[in-house]
Formats: sequence, structure tokens, C-alpha cells
Amino acid sequence: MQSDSFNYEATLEACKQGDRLALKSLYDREVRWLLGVALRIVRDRQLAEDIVQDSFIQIWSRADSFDSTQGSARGWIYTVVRHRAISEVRRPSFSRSVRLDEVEPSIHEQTVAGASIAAADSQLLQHCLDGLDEERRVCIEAAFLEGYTQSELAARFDKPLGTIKSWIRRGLLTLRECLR
Amino acid sequence: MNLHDAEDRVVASGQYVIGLLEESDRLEFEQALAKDAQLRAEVARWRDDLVGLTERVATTEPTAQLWNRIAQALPDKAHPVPVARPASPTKPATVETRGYWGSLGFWRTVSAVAVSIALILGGYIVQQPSEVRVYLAVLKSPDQQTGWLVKARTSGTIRLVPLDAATTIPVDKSLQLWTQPAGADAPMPVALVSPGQTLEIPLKQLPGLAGEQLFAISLEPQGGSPTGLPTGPILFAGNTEQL
Repeated sequence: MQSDSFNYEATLEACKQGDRLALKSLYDREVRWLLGVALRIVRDRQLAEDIVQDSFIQIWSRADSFDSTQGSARGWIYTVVRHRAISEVRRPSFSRSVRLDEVEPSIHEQTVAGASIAAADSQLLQHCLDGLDEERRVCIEAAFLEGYTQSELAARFDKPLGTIKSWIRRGLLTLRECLR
Repeated sequence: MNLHDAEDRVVASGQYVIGLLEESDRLEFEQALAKDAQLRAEVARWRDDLVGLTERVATTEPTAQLWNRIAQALPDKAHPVPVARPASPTKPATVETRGYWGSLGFWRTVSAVAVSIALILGGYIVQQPSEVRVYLAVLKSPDQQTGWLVKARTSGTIRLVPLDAATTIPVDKSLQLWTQPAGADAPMPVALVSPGQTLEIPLKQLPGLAGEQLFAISLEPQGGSPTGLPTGPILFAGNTEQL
């Protein structure tokens, strides 16, 4: 679990200046989590490592474009990896089975321990997700964690695409209101 | 893609962060993002709000070679090439009047020093005035049960969110929220609190907002403490930490 003492913003700032040790410190700290995030989406270890490799190079090269007045460096870093993984599963050549049943049991698999501030924020997110209608929550979580498209979710739920889109839209609006 | 309506912007930004936009929409959205700072702020907010979901993922050990592969592929930045800027015919005087303070080299040096200091100090960041800071406090009962969460942004309001909906109080009592900045002598009353309900308070009603600021909820006579200080038991308390 990440603690609060690591300064992600200063680390990215140092990456901008060409400090490789800063990137290595980010790697040492986050790689297990980032690899886990990528693996959950692509479900292929080698591919997940390639994605993490590409992502660290992107983080290094694009650190300039990170604006510390707009959001946290940690949020940015995870989004780089998730988007890189998702672009992989969106390739026409990529195939995988839609197994949404794997989403559900894992939802509470990692209870956030301790009183770290990241944990407190996760607690708020959990509180807000729990407030959503079940199917809206599952759609949003599955799309985020597994990288599913709306069409894949429609197939899984056996619902028209329009219904899924509406669930996600309303789910996101409710979440935004709760997380404000 | 319609990005004029406020709700559409919230939804599209969330979909973008999650990875739900189809390819053509994603490209269109990224074009809009490049020239729309408010949209970038919305995206940043979703990134931060949802990143907690990644904690549900099982961690995975990398193979021993992964870092070496990354290190070997890193473009070198040790001697950054100055960015070639086109001469600016519209504002020819700017460069001269800026002089020393405007020189790129000067600011590079300053920021390099600042970075070193920031790294030495570890957890401390040089705050920019425009930066919105977010503070969280988990309010726990004396037996360490989480009861409420305080989430505050320096840009606007603080929100008190109930995490334990089961709190009930006698009809002739009220819950009252207090805050005490680090170093202050006594808590100050903030507002009355309804059990199980989110409360939103303008920041200007607080004496200030910083790290290590105490927030507490006490049980008071109906209508709140008559003395301006807590008279009943403190049910929940916690200190702010910067997110």
C-alpha cells in the first residue's frame, strides 16, 4: 500500500529535469501496482510488462506536459498506464473473452488498511460507488478495472447498447455529485 | 460530441479517463482538451477521484530485467536541447525588457535548485498560488470506528460525508461540528450536523484550512452548544491531511 510520504509531484518535476534516479524511485515504489493494473486489463504477463515499460518511457518523456495545478501526479501516472493498456485491448487483433463474473468477487478483495490519506479517499470513492444502482456501479468498475467497452458490457448484460450508455452516464453524474 | 452542456462535459471527461470513449470520440475529445483548460480540470478531477479503484488490483512482481529494459530505452535528457522558438514579430520588446528574470537559463537553474530542495525535503511541495489543495480528515470514534469524512478544497467548500449511516441521536440532542487549526487554543463551532446526511459548508465559515487541523463532532443540547465550546462527549474526531 502506498503511504503518503512519497512526493509524486517532485518526482515528476525531477524527471522533467532528466533525473533518472527519480524515475527509478517511482519505479521501485509503483511498479507492482502499475503492473497489476495493466495485467488486470490485458491478462497477459509479457504484454503487461511491455505496457509498463512503454508507460515509464512516456512518463519520462511527457513529464513536461504534466501540470501540477491540475490534479495529482499519482492520478496522472496511473492514467498513463491504464490508457496504454486499454489502447492495447482495443486493437482489432486483440481478442479476449468477456468475463465480467471475475469483476464482482474482487471488488472488495483488498480492504484498504490503515488511516493513510489515500485510503481515506478510497473510502469516499467506495462510499459513493456503493450509493450507485448495482448495474451502474458494476459497469463503471468493470470498464475502469478491466478496460471493457460499452459494447462488451452490453453483450455481458444482454442489454441494448443505449441502456449501457445511459447507465454509465447516470452513474458518472451521480458519482460526480457524491465525490464533488 | 457535444461538449457545451455542463453534464455532457462531466460525462465525457469521466468516460475519457475510464477509457470508454470510442476512437473517433477520443481523438475529438483530446483535441478539445488541448484548448480547454476547464475540461482539463474536469479530467484531472476524475483521474484523482477514480485512482483509488486501482487499489483493488492484485500487485504483480515484475521480472528482474524490466527496469533495465526501461533504463536502456530512456531518451537522454542530461543536456536538454534548447527549444527553438520562432522569433516573435508581434512582441519584439518582451525579451529585452524581461532581461535576466526572463532568461530561460536563469529559470532552469532556479527550478533545478527548487527541485533539489523539494527532493531533499521529501514530502514538501512548493505551492503555487493557483494550486487547489485538497484536504481529507477521517473522523473516528474513540473506539476507532470510522464515522465521517471531511473533504475540503482550498478553492471552495468543505464537505462532511457520513460513512456510517447508522448514527442515531436522542431527539433532544444535536450533533455539532467543530474545528481547531494546529496551534489554536480552542475549537470553534462550525455547524450543526444531521445524522447520516452530507453537509456542505463554505470555506469562509472556517478559521482557515491547513494540514493537521482538527475536526470533531460532539453531542450537544438541541440547537448546539450554548457556550461556544463543546459541552458534550466528542463522538468523532480526526486531523486533516493533504491529499
